[in-house]
Amino acid sequence: MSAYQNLEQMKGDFYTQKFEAGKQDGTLIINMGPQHPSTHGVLRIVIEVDGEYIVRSEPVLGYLHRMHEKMGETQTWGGFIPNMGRVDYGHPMAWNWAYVGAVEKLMGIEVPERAEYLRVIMTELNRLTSHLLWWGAYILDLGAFTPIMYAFDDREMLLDILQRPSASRLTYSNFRVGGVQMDLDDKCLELIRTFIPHFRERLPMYHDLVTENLILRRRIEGVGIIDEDMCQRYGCTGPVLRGAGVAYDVRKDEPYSIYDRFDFEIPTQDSACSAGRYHVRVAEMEQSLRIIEQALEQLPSAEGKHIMDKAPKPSMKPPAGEAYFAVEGGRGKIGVYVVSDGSKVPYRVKLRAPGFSNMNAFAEAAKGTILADAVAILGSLDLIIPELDR
Amino acid sequence: MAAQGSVVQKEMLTAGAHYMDPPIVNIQLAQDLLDVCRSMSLWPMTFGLACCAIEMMATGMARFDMARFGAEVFRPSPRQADVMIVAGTVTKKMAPAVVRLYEQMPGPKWVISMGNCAISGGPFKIKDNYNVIEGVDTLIPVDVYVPGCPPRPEGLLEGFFQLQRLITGKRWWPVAAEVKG
Amino acid sequence: MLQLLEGIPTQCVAKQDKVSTGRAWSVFLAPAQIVKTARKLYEAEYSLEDVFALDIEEGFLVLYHFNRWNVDERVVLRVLISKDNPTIPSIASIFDGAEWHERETRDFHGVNFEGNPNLVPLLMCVEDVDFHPLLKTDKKRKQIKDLLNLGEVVSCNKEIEALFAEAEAEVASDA
Ligand code: SF4
Repeated sequence: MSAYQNLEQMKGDFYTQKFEAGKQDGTLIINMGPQHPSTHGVLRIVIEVDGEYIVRSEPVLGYLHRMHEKMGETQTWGGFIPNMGRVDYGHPMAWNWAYVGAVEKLMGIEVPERAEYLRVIMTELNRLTSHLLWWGAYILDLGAFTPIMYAFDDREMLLDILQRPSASRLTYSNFRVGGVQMDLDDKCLELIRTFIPHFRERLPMYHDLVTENLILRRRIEGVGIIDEDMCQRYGCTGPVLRGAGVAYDVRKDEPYSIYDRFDFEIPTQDSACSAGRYHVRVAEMEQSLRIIEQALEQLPSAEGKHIMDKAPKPSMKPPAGEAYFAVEGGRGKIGVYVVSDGSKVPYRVKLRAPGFSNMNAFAEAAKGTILADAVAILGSLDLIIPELDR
Repeated sequence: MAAQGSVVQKEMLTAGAHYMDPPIVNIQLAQDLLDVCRSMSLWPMTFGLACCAIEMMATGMARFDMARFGAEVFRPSPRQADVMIVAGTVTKKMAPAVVRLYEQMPGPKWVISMGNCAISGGPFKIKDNYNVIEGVDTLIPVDVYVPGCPPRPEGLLEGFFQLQRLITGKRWWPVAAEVKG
Repeated sequence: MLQLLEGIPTQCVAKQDKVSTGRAWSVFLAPAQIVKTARKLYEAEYSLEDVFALDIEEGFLVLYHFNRWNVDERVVLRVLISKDNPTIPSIASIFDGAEWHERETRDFHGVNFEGNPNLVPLLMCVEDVDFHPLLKTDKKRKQIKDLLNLGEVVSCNKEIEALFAEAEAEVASDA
């Protein structure tokens, strides 16, 4: 039964003990987490250090394993959508989309055009909040407190916009199979239109404040190399891969929805270090703005029902079969795989989290760097722990 | 091996986890004064567990600015903190760490349980639950509950006011007017 | 894809409908072939997306998703292993990322990956090492033919065909 019933067993820790088995002479084993401000949640890393240098490290996951895949098998198809808002609270819209998209594939449902545009606009706005959150928190980890205040200032504006159609500040779950739940009202569109020039003005300030800062550059440039081959072996995607010089973006390379109608670039950096990943993300914010602008221009005017014409009931029964759907989230490729046996409940839902694969490369990237660099590397991976542990 | 049911018991707290030496000068007036001081400079611990942690951050940042009410000094170490905001889902693997952190905090100490997850397991309280602790109050004593999934920053601020009232016996801030429309 | 698989004794190769399944190819393999295939895929610049298992009546179906960066050609490798001895060789020596995916699969379904350098619980507690949450109850478990479609078969051996046989007969009779 439960091991916590007696305190004896709390004395030792399995993962540390296992790690200690390979210890060299003269090194020290330290434990980072599960409560550590720079791990952004409850990630734990056991590290062996020789002086200041990292010899070996092993992340220990599972401190926030919330049974999403199990819940997928017990909840109805429609009832699982709220979970998607909680897997990755950084960029929940993309997860919504990945799941809903997989079910739509399975059922062969077409989404009304206006709903597609709304999805694009909301997902890209959400990508901005995700990157802003990362940006502020990353700089905070590296020791500068002020930038996060600016980042949250802008983020709050975005949340004001997003809470109108989704009625939520953080854990959005407003996508539906076959459409979206609510339309963007005029007030909301107006807010977005005023936000874009405002944010364009702020971006150069972000660069002036932070990007060119010598202290930051010294801390992140050349630190934590994750190159192309490593990305292939570990399956890293998103800004990590683009920071290694590969222009891979699911929105372009495996176009879904209406992303092929927009003109945007995929920023890449060849340095493969933390600084590369930093620049990619900052550049992506500008690209998201471009997509939103174009989407607003093209947005077909229509009201009411056009956002979920053919949406099935929440108690839908997709035909037996399987489907895989991938979208580009703030952290990389999000994949959702669903299997149906023709009943009201999914037979299996598998969530492919980008952070999981990105984090996997940490141990190799951190080898030989100093302990303070570990924080710089962790931050540059943009971790959201519930997504890792699911 | 069965994993269902509530997995962690209150006995996890070691003896003396609540224990505080009686004050040297134990005069009611002095205590009251100290309580007011304490309640106006609560130092929360940076202890984000899940989604709710982001709202906790938002509460401390621009716009909501918790500093106005004396609680902006988020400390990364439990030894320097006196309020623990349990913001998020506590899992079976994390439970011993939560208890240990609580025990490391010096008294007097308080706990705010933020979000449905920390109150009761929230959205993860399902029949086949095998990994989520259904309520952090099964592990450590909780003073204030702030419901929501996630609670809005205003909600957390209100939770802080409640805690201040708990400590001093008085609400210090005006009640927000109802917004129409 | 077919070139790539030359020299590997596959059990079944089938094209899949990209629009409805999101994948281009589906390949059934014997457990012994998985490492060899993974190496070939690595050389062809495929990267690993995920590894997981399905609990079905015939045993465990372990699925591997691979995709390339420059060309969108998602491949799913499927390996059917029996419930009595759920063991399969690990591909962690080729794709380092597989290590965590395999550990996760072991946590959830109890599939053992031979040769995984660190097969200890990843997401679950250490105490729950023998508890596998995603195992189905007997009542809920389905047969493979009720869940998956073979797709457009290129080559297929008898065993796999037999697994799907009835379903196809049903489809034929419907038509
Ligand atoms: S209460 Fe809701 S928002 Fe808060 S941690 Fe739980 S799931 Fe996340």
